[in-house]
Amino acid sequence: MKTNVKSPGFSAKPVQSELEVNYNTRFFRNTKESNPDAYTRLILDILQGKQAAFVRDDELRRAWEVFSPVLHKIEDENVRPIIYPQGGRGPQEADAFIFKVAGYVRSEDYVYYDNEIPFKSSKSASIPRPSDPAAAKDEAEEENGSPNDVPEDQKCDIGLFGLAGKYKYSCFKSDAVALFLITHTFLFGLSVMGQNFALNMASHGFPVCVGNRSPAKVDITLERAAKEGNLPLVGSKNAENFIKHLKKPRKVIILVQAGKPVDETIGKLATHMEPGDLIIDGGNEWFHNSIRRAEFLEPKGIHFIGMGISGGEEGARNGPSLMPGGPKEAYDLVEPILTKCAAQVERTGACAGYLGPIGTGNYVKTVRAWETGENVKSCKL
Amino acid sequence: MTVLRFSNIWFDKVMNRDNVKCIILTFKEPFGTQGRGGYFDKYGIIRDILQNHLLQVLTLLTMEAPVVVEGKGSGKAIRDAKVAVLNAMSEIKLEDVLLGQYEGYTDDDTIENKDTNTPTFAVVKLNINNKRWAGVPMILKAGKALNERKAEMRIQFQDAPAGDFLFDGTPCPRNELGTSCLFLLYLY
Repeated sequence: MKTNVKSPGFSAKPVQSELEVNYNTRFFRNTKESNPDAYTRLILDILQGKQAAFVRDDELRRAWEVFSPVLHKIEDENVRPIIYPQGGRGPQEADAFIFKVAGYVRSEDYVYYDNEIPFKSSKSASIPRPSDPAAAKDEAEEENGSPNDVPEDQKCDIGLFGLAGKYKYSCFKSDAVALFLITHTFLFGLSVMGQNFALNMASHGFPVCVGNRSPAKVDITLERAAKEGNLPLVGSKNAENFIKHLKKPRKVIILVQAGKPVDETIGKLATHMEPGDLIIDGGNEWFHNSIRRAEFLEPKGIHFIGMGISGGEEGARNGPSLMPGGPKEAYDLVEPILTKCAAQVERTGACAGYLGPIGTGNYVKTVRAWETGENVKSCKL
Repeated sequence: MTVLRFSNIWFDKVMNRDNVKCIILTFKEPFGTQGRGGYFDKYGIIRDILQNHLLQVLTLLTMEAPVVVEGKGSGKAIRDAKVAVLNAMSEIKLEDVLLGQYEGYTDDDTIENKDTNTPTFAVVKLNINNKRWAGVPMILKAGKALNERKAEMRIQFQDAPAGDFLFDGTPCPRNELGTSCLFLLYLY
């Protein structure tokens, strides 16, 4: 608030200053917290069914009634805009125009005293995320085990890497949306998707090799495979050995935490793979990242598919919805496995199908996740 | 904004035609269309920013007190109040509009019509014809390829009565309440 105060010194003349509240200095000076982003609040509004921040139809109609006549006039009469240089305050005429129509006086000699501390974005610090100390420890563990050659008849149809990856929605560029979906995810618990999807494929008769950064999770999965009906599943405890367990052309599904871990895993696996092999990322990835990874793998001749997986932990075990996007010839390599392991719907068949080039699968999954959010909202879960 | 307006007695007392000279809402971007000129050229800055983002802020700033601001029924109450103030706005006249376009706008390959009159800068004056705001100009201003990134609302109050005389000719600049609307940047 620009407010006149007594000028310093002996005179009683007014001088312009400001009364100011800065959220960061007032409320967040000594904490790591910061004000939640606008979208964070908006998403929580959705969850709680608060509609005030969303425009209602009669508001929208009225808003257009105010603006449409002049917009049409500008178009019909071809009103020419004033050309202004880039990087300035806009057309010179604007200040005079505002003074003319509004009487606004811009105080030219007023200089804002900026004592603001740098704006703290809440993007990094305050969004609560599910944390799993055990998983973090697993990820830090070094790989061990030595590569052995695997006899041809013992090789697996498909490999699945990542048995404990934290479920993360990187497909949204806003942490708020991710926060909201993680909250939603907790309801269903998705931490063992990798294990469950591996067991699903194995129970459909496809021998699977599983790998993970932490050997402990491999053992757990092997135990489960034995317990859930002696399923054809082998485990491997390092990347090179993992790849050696696979029939050519090798097909690997990775289910690690979306984002950087995917890049690391691809980097590690790709060094042991050959042209014609295929990597499928089953994470909730932002589609641009999948396009980037496909471009990275292209010179090596390795195919890449970004595949959204829906249905949660239970779906992964008993039949998920699969949304693959990538080269058609790569999809054809895994088509029999995917259509058999996906959810089966009475009239339409398998809940899996070729969606299009790289990125399309991730995109469809993003939309689907958003739609889930809408459902959660409507059901007030 | 609803908290500031309806939980402070001083604020509500000055939010009217007796005290306010004008209200200006500003949205500035330091970059141009960045390759999406083909999309932008069909709509222009008025449809892109003024009619939705800035008008939303203006309605929240100028609406009457809703029956409740939080809790049960607030969604309906707030939007009813917003519609009421929108209903009091008259159609914008051409003489109350100033349009600009930055130099080099049509260099964007995606813009087909090189003689386009699509504005990338606009100032629009609105009137709210009700007891509280009659005669107080409401300015919405937005532009691309400007000197800074900024989203703010600014309420300029009227001159202090007899200020010049009281202080021996020293000018008494008008009070001005400015608030950064960071959320506007996000909504865009």
